[in-house]
Amino acid sequence: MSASPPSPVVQLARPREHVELSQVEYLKARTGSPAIDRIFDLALTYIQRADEAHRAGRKVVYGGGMTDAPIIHAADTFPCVFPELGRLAGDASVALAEDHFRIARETCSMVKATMGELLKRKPLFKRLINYCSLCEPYNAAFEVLKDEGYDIYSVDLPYRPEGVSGERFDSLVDFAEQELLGLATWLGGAYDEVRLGSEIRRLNRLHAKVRRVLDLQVASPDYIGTLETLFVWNGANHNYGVPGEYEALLDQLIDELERFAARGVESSRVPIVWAGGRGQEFGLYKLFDDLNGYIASWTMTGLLLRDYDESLRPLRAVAHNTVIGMGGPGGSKDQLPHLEDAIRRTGSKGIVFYGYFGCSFSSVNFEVLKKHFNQQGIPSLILDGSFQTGAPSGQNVTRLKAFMEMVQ
Amino acid sequence: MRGDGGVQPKRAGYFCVYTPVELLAAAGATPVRLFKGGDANTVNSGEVHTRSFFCQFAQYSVGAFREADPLYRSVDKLYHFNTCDQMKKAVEAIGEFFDVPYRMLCLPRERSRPAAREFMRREVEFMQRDVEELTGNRVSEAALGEAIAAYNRARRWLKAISELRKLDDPPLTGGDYLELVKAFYYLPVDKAVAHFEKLHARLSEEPPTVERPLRVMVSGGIVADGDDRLVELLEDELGTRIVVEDHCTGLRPFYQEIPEDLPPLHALADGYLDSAPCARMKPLSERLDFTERLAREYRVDAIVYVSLKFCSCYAITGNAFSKRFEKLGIPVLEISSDYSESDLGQLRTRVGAFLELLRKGETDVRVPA
Repeated sequence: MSASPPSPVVQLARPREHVELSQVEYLKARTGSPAIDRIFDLALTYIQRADEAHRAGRKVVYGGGMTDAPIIHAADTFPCVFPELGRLAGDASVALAEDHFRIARETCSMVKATMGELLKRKPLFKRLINYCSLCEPYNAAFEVLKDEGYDIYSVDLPYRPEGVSGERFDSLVDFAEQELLGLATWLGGAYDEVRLGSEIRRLNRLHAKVRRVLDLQVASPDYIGTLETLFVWNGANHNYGVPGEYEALLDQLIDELERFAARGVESSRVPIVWAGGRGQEFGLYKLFDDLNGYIASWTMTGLLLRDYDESLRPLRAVAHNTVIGMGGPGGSKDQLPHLEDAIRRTGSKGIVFYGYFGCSFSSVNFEVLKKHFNQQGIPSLILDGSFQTGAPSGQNVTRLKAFMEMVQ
Repeated sequence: MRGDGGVQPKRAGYFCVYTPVELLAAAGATPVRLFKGGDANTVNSGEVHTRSFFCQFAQYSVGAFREADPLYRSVDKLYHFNTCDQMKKAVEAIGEFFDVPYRMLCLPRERSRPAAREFMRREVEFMQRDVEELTGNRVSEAALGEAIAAYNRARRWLKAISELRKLDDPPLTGGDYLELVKAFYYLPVDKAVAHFEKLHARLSEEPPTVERPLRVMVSGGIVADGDDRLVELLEDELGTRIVVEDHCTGLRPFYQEIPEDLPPLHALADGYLDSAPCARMKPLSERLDFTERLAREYRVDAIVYVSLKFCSCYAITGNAFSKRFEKLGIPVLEISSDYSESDLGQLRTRVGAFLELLRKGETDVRVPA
């Protein structure tokens, strides 16, 4: 532990000239938090390290951002989360996918950006995990990618309809367990239950630490900014391929945050709940900080941080968590308790729903949820953005600015 | 109440052909397939609760409830097997914004896996309990077996009628065939069967001609009841003959039958999973194999592949589809369609140019969307 408490990053250490930087430049810049700086380094080198692991003869798979994470870790495989490829993907990747696969322009930009990147990365590793119930465009896209030589395992997860419980819920979990056993076998040949149990306990421990980071940020929001917490979140399951180091960085960050909180710095920053996708339109996240706000909860994806039930058999625990944590693609209203909890815990003043233009499920989710929160008098805003890196649309910036003005 | 004083049977609405109608019928409900489309105003109405980038059929379906279409509003409950994201979410929107009760069920994608079979059986069982609750009638094995047999008879006749289109000059048009498909979905099954049987007999007696119009297959996403413009363009304006449909409102759902030698619930689960696959099912290769089989059986000269704008399943896999048939030497025209009127001229030009090339014998054409 260092002798003096760290300085708040957002107000003191982050120079204003960073406002116009690209996301990559922003990640390269030093934040004032040693732990965050290192997490940014891990994010920036993540894909490159996956490639190196592959070249060194290690098993590497595109996957690991979801509840497949403990299974991948247990199979001694490096998880390379394919949405992270989005950090590499700009409009050129989208155009490549549109051209090579003749995908319609209106298709979700996340899918196109990923496909473009995967096409460029064809000579590298080719194993990929698809969680079937998550997204229809990806389902179709991955079928097409098979023709490019990709070895794709589709985990045919059940969709959890709204309000399902009891016997039918158990039936969904039974099916998910069978499918996840298939995944474990595909990954490693023999399924090692003891090892999976150990990974589940490790991830539960990590998730608790991620939650602690976020709680500390809510208590004292001036130390780290919005993009910083996003990258802490992002690594929660895949750990940027270095589980030990990632956990050590969480410990270090918690220490930094606790020492900053001990200074009792008053903050006027306005907490907002973010619900939906986490695209690469860096400028939107930055805008929260610039407008004296911050994202206090990354909900929906946050469902992935639910603890695995250690009283269940390990594979059952993963299946159970998968069905419960279906998030966006599950029943719309099943997300309400999580959002309400996030608002209550963080004292957030509103919700921003964010989906990608062309997303096949989020739009109705958002309409249903927005209706509910309107009735509760909680302000909300729906934004349709794009996944690939680049500046956010002027329209989204204007709308977000107006929203932040309103909630303040 | 019915006009005769009896109790009106419950009306069970559904959108997708993976819904086991036999179960609805065996419980005494009236199955109503909701597959209208083609009207831009209804789409616009549905957009209020969805988004501009939502599939037009899904938007139409929401819009039809919003516009209080009598057929749509007549249903007591919706049953929806989770086929694609957008229809799943459309059903949720209908439930949320128009207070229509619905039951969502799961449909596995990896249909050949044993776990998928078992799971589908359990989902069909859950559906049975739900339908029994809706109608107040217990579904007996015997009643379900009878319903399976009745719907199989209808499928058999529709397939038999379709096979008459294998003749050089088919005795019915593609447009005619779509009308028969509507009869399957809108009439009581026994009435439909009687109608099909008579029609088959009459069409079988049509004297053969020496003509051989250009034979076209229409493949892709749903061609809704009311979305007539492509069929009219191909057949009425441009003189081709649609001899087979590889979509869910044409021949495809009638190509295979539900097994009658298995316990009924088991038969429904297996039968629907084994039915001719749509683009949502995995692997894609099985769907393409099926289309190829149809193309060979019906000796098609060309394929018009239609995907509705914002349809993830058919739009993204369109290129893989075209490449498969390119290798087989069957020209494909890919069309991205919607329910607006504004692009009819453009559509006419594209389809016309494609057919002109075909007629000139330049059969290696492939005109992308």
